[in-house]
Amino acid sequence: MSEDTKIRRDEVEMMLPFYVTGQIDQADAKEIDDYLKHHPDVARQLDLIRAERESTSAANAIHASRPARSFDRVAAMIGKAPARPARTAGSPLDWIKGLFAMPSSPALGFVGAAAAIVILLQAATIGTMVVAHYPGIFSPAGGNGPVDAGTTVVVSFADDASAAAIADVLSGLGVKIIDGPSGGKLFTVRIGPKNMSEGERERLIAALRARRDLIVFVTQKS
Amino acid sequence: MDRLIADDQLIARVAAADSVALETLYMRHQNRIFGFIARIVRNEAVAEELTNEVFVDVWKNAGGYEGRSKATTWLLSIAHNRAISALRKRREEPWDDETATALADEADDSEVALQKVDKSRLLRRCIDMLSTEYREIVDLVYYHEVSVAEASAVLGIPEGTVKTRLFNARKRLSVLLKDAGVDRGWP
Repeated sequence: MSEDTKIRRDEVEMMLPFYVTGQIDQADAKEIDDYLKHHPDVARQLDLIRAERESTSAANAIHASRPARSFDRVAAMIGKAPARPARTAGSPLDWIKGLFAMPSSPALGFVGAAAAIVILLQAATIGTMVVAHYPGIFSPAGGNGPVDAGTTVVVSFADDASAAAIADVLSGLGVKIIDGPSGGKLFTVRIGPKNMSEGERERLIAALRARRDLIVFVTQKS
Repeated sequence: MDRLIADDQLIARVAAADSVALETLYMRHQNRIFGFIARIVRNEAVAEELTNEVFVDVWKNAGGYEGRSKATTWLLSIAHNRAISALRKRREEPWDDETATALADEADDSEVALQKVDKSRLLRRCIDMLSTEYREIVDLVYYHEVSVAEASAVLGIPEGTVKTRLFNARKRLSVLLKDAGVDRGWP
């Protein structure tokens, strides 16, 4: 391998993670596309990178599922009172559902109301829309005590997936969303009882993964 | 999804001492910032406090945000500085790239245990065993999905260093996997 060839290969390899995450411009992506067509040995790295990405997301999902904290502590640190009463800690989903049910309050004022709407819209990801409009596939783990959530996976839905299509797939597989969104995009889906067979678990995970058009990420909770 | 009020606009309002705008930013980004910090400091109580401090920094410094980078990039860069500063205090040693590189991977000696878990969990475990600077770049690129330029802005390092650091982190992953009995054929 000539020095130029090696340098080019190193350059491409260093950009592959950004190519996989879509964080490069079109011209660079096209160059890498062309390079990979002629270098299948380098193209094989894409599977390694996708696995690294999936495992990294799973490792981060643990922290992303933390219940939202109230603003009170920060408000105290900057010497300002929060704009609205503190919420009790709970699932982001509970909070969103609460907002749907919340009567509008004149005391919020325009700015406060606008802020509440912004938060609502930001949190209303496609998965949340599924929960809101297709309650049949939502089964809250709810409550404050420990809950037997059974066997669960963490999923992330495609931004352009329709709520109806997701609801169809989940109900067709007999699985339900039980929590989310955490980290803005991750949902916990119960796929069966705690003692379900390994074969059935693998079958359902494979079925979810097969719908890459709707579900971009699936990993089993550890 | 389009947002009713963009992060940039919220930061401008924070600069004008609008605490409602800060609260909106906080509710929108607290988990991302908490997770990013928690993965660096590996202590949830410390991460909680540092997350609050990040938003206090936003309150104090919003006037200096010029919108040249995305708001999330700016928030992550504040979080990075807060987390590294906390680590530095904890270790009572100077923090720079050389020091960071010289730090041993935070691996334990559980190769035997590693072999018992499946490949996906093994990979996750190996990512967690990377040194702080390697784990941080892996998280930034794969989970927070930043570009080379954005990672450069968050970490305060040249773009070339972003690429080589991630490349080296991936090579280190291969070594850790190989030590655990999995040869993935690269590099």
